[in-house]
This record gives sequence, C-alpha cells and structure tokens, in this order.
Amino acid sequence: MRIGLAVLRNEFLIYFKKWVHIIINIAFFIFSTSLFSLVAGLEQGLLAEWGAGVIWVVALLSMLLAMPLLFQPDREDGTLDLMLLSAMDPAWLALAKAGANWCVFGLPLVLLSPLLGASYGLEGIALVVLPATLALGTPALILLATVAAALTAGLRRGVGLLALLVLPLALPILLFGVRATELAADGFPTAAPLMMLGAFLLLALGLLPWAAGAALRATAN
Amino acid sequence: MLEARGLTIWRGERRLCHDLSFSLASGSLLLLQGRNGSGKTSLLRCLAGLLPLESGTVELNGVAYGRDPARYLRCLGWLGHKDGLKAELSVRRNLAFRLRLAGLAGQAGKEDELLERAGLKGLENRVAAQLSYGQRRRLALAGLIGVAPPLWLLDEPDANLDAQGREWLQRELDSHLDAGGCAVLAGHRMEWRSRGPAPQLILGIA
Repeated sequence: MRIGLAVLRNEFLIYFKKWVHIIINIAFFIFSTSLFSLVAGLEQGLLAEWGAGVIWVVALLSMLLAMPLLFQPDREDGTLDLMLLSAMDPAWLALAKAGANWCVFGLPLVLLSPLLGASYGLEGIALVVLPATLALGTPALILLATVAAALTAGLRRGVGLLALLVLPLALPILLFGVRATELAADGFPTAAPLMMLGAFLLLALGLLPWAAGAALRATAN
Repeated sequence: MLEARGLTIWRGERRLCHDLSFSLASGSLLLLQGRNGSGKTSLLRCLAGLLPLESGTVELNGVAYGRDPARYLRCLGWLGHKDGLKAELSVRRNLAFRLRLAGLAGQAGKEDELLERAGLKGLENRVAAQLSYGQRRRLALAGLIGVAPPLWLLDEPDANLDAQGREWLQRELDSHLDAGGCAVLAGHRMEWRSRGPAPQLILGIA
C-alpha cells in the first residue's frame, strides 16, 4: 500500500513535468467540442440535442490520447520491471496508475463539462448531471484502459490496438452517460442511469486492477 | 542459496536452453556468457520470475517463485539492460523511489552515502535526463546496492561505465559476496571475479 502511494506521488510529479500533455488534452477537448457546434451552426435546438453526446464522445477520445501514458513509458525505461519485482501487488500498481491518470486527464474534463454543456444550450439540472456522469464514467473508462494498456504496452503499434480494445467496451458507459444527461435536459428522473454508471465504476474498481495486474505480469516477458 | 533444476526456456519458436541445472552458494558469482541472442537475458528474466519457464524449477533460499512470490522477490535485486530510471525526476527522487519499492522508508542519510559511493555527489538535484549514460548506470547500481538483496541479477551491469566505474562495481560486488550474497551476471566481459575467477555458464552451445 505504501509503495502504491509512492508510485502515485511519482506519477503526479512526472505528469506535472509533462504539463504539455495536460494542456494538449484539455485543448483537444475544448476545440473538438467547439468544432461540432460550428458544424451544427446556430440552431439552438439541434445544439442542445447533440450536446451530451458530443461532450461524452470527445471526452472519451481525449482520454484515449492519454491512455498510452499508463504503462508504455515504464516499459521503455525499465521501471515497470522494477515495480513488478517489488513487494507491491501489481493490482495496486494498476490502481495507482489509473488514479493519477484520471486526476490529471479525467478530472479537468469533468470540471470543464458544465461550461461546454452551457455553450451547447444545456441548462438547469442537466448542467449538474453532465459532470456527474463524467465523474462516474471516466474513472471506469481509465480502469478499462489499464487492462488494455497492460496488454498492449510492449507492442510497437499498441496505441491503435489499445483504442480498438477500449472503444467497444466503453460503449455501455458512454450510452448511460449520454442518456442520463438527455433525461435531465428533458426534465425526467436520472437516478437509474446514474446508478448504472455507479455500478459500472464499482465493478471496475473491484475487478479491473486485478485483471490489469495479471496482464502486466503475463506480458512482462 | 539459488538452485535451478531442469530449466527449459523457449523464446517464440526457438529453444534457448534445455534441462539446464545449476546452483549457487552464498558468496559466489556465476557469469552467464554467450553470443548475442543466446538467451542470457531470458535466463536472467526467468530467474527473476519475469519470464515463465517451459519446465524446471528455481528456488531461492528454499522458496520457489510459484509458491511464495513475495518472499522470493524480497531476496533478489534486478538490474536489466534498461536502467529503470525516470528521466523527468531528479537523481535523489529516483534513488528514493528505488529504495521505496523495496520497502525502505526515505532515509536522506543513506541516499547521500549511496550517491557518494556511486560518484554522484553534487548531482542530487539534477534530473536523470541530464545525466550521461554512465552516470545513469551508476545511479541504477546505487539503487540496487542500497536495497542490498541477497541475490543480484545483473544484465551487462558495466554497460556505459568507464574504467573507474567498472572498478567501483567490482569493489561493490566483492563487498556483496563477502557479506554472504551471491550474483548472476550476464555479459561479454570475462574479468569479473569472486575471490578468484568466477565460474561461467556458456549459453547457446546446445
């Protein structure tokens, strides 16, 4: 556990030294969502209809940009071997990596989403539900990505494969996230899709770090 | 201390060794020799539990990796081809992290002593990316020496080291072996010694 915290601390230090990645990620999120609104023109009804879907899809894509940073650098510089040979269970390693990656790349998207939602004409409770869905859904996405990243870290063209593995598995999270926001925008209760997202997150927390740990061990050769 | 029996290792379609057995007592050094691609690194990775064995067993102080991985791993130290350093972090932070991975709490005094022994004093706050390859190797070795596990698995540990660095490494190896540790060292240099010429295991002949 203490080693896991040391990994977490190191990850934050490294990510903040690579601040350009963080800026690029945020800029990608903002510019890509803006592109959709330009294509839709100024038709407010259409914008509001697209809003939740566009923001969720772009959030997913911008998180995909950061997913190769989960294990690939550690594989390349040899620190992954040292971490796998430490007293720490690789599941804690995966959890620490996922936690740091989400705080640096996922949390800013959650915080920015109400602003972007408002620019799409979302209002009222929908501007609360949208970040809530992202806060529940994006950590589950990162946990999914840890398994795919652990499996593909040693591959030369692993980034494309990582995206192909994550995208179909992310579909239920995406659908519930978008649906909850749409229901909120139309004034319907949103408890059911939010609870489903919460259940996905709990399931991901309970299972995926162990799966990622096993994948890291299996691909260490 | 280290007992390997009947090891068979495959790398893809190629069999690297078959039914290989050897043992290593406290205070002894084994040199793994062989041409490039003969399987030295793969054998080291098998001994570390990083690569699965096709068949055979490895026991370290009577513990097999499969039976108690945590206890097995506590007894070994690893230095691979890659230094295991984070280019973005300082020399001190890299060393502290290496010690932390072994469960050793942050000890500034110990870090200072290790950096001095490795000839890196005065570079504590420099990021690893700004070190020369030789200095990075020294830092990686300082981490291993600080952890001081009973078995050292070293893959070309003198890569990028100058003559002084190789002498320093030999001295540290001598101290480790005198203290009852043992080491398996893969590389192309034949001069490593352990109170006399070290036994060699030459791979790639079968």
